[in-house]
Amino acid sequence: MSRSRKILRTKLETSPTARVTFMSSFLNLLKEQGVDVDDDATIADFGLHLDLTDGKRWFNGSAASSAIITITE
Amino acid sequence: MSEFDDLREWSDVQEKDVLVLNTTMTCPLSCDFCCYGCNPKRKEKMPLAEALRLIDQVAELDCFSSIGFTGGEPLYYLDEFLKMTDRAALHAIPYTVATSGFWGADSAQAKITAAHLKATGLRRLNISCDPSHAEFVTPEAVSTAAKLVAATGIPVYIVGTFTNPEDTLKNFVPDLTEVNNVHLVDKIVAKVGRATKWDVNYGAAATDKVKTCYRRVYHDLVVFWDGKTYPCCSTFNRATPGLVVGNAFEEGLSAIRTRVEASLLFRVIKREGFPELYKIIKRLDPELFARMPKFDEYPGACSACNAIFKKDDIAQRVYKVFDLYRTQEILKSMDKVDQILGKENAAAFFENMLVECS
Repeated sequence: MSRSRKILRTKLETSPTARVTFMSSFLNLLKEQGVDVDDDATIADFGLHLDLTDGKRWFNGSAASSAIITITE
Repeated sequence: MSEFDDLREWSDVQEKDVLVLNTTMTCPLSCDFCCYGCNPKRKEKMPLAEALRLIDQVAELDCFSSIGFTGGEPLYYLDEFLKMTDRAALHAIPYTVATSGFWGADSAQAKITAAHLKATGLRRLNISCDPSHAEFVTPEAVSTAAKLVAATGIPVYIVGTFTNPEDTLKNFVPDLTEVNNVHLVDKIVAKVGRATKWDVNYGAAATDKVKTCYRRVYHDLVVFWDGKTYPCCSTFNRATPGLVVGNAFEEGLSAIRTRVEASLLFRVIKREGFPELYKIIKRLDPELFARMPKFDEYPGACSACNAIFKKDDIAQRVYKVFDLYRTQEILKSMDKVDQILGKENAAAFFENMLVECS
């Protein structure tokens, strides 16, 4: 395991801020390494719930007037 | 499938993040089911300077595609509304408005308002109209406002909220059924605000409910008059203190948005839904799982979310579980990066990530 990976792991285990940064930077950094981040199957392999796994649509079964303004049908 | 295939936007516009400004609780109406309990006597109002500052921030962030104005009645303080929309126009940021259409009662002024909306980048107008709203604003006023705006080419959505799934706007405002650019949307009262204790018939919708948040990708960041910020436009948001994601008067929108985007909790309920949330909690904290309100007892995802996050002790414990879950999943994803990218690229990835996280 590389030194960077070890330090990063420790940081992620101990710092909530680092975890937020990891989550928000993940896709961009994958992209920089040549990963096709627009490919759902590829992205799904990395975990972190990056993919859309449930195709159900909100308003087909919406029961209440839950969205005020930017609602999707 | 693209991320937008799953998003049934009202128009053909594919929204990214939306900043929703809930500028006031003042409303000339006092609807019996109002989710925020608005009425003419309420005085809460977002300071204009704060609203303008938020609009300026949106202009600097690539992730936002529009601004939404709601309330209360966002056009009640018309001068300030005009200043806010002028500022949005200055930055070329399109916006949407949710209104009662009360301003349609004065057709001369309504013409001026419609022209301003068109000139400053209104993307969509939502007008609430149903028996409850009609006690205060006549369907004729709504019709005037709707037709004036629709005539400019801007889509107008008339939203009728009923207690019975059989009731429809088609019957309630028949003169708007065939108007170009006017669309009718029927909904059912949400049991929140003044309607919390109502006996509402959700009909078939209650048995075929959607289990995810209404936006699967991107976020509606809703800032209220006091700066409190919520991650969605659910009518339950204000009644759900555990959903507060920050105060946009005290920190930048960018920081709040990053936190929301980085939340595995939100990612799970937006993309996979509440059954997955329960599954994860059951595995990591069975005692909490046993205490939680059950999803099946609520008519939809928003009401279930409200039941979970309105109680501070449960909300905080759910956040704690999900922070643990996020840590576990992040560490797993590092292993995946190793496997999928290969040694050299993975090393570069970790190097870069370490810089980001430092």
